Amino acid sequence: MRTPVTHHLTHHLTHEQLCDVLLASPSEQDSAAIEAADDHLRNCLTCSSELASLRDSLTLFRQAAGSYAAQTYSRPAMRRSSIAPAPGFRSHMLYWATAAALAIAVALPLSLRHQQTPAPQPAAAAIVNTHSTESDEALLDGIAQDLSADVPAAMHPLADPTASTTASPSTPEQRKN
Amino acid sequence: MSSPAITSETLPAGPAATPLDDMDSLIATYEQRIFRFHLVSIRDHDLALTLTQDTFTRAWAARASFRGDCAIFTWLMRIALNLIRDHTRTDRFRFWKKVSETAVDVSDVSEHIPHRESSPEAALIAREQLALVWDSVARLSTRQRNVFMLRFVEELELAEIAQIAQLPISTVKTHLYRALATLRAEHNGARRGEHAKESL
Repeated sequence: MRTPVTHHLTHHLTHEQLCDVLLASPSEQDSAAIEAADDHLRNCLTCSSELASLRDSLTLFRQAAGSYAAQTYSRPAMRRSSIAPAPGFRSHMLYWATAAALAIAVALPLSLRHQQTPAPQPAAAAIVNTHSTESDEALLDGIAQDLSADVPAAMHPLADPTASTTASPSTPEQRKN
Repeated sequence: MSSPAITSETLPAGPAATPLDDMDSLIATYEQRIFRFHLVSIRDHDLALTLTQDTFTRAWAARASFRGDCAIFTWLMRIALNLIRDHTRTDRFRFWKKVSETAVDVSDVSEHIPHRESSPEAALIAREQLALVWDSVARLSTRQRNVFMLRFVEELELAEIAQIAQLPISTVKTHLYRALATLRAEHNGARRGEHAKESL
């Protein structure tokens, strides 16, 4: 005589009863509550199909998650990232490293240019100085040459006329002048 | 910047001898399982790696406080759970919604649905079922989610979960009831949708 079956079929398993069946450990399978629920499930297609569907979904979830974790788990990866620099920390480090690299990339040519820029100025100054020195020297040389050059004949001091009469006879040209 | 792997050699020397002194074998035994829990709970690969390492670093630092009144795995999982709680409590962490290159999407996981002898239709249904659980879990509170993971991914007994979460068994059950209520609601909604399609 199984009168409770009719009762169970009209009133489906409560949420707690269904959960208890799902959560029951093997040692709890013999408990009265679980046995009663099992009894209902054997006769109620609605409850049994829902329970089967839930069990199937949970099994899929566990298997897929476990398999995915097993595949993505790798010792080398663990070793690489050990002692816990957090991802945020790593991304910050990457950010600052990139920023530092960019800063160096910008600053280095500028500093090199800065170091090189004064060099042409002395060179230019030297060139200017050289040019000016050369031109000065040339000018001085020119002056020296001019000074040392023979005085043109027209600029020669006139000869003493008295001396010419006594010392040397005048030429016919001189007499003409 | 690379740092050395966690081994008993790289960790600083501590005081007394404990069952946790052999960190190398401890890591070899439990690392993958701890990583799985972190990965499925927080759904970020890099973060899961970091938290796994943090779990062992904290275990090493606190090994003197291990009294042996629970299994080593239970103790490690308690540390792991606390790390997840600490991490998800921070304002910066936008749980489940974080856009990250290493964030895990349901499509990544659905590639790992076991291949049963099934038709393409059955495979599609399996993907939908997985997506349904994935989305439902995302909507759970942190406590519900943690307890759900410990029960349905790690397949731990309620008593173990109670030890790890440091909650009474009745509270653990309540969290599971609520988590399963969310899942059932999603499930029944999807099933009603399927039946509606079939009847058309």
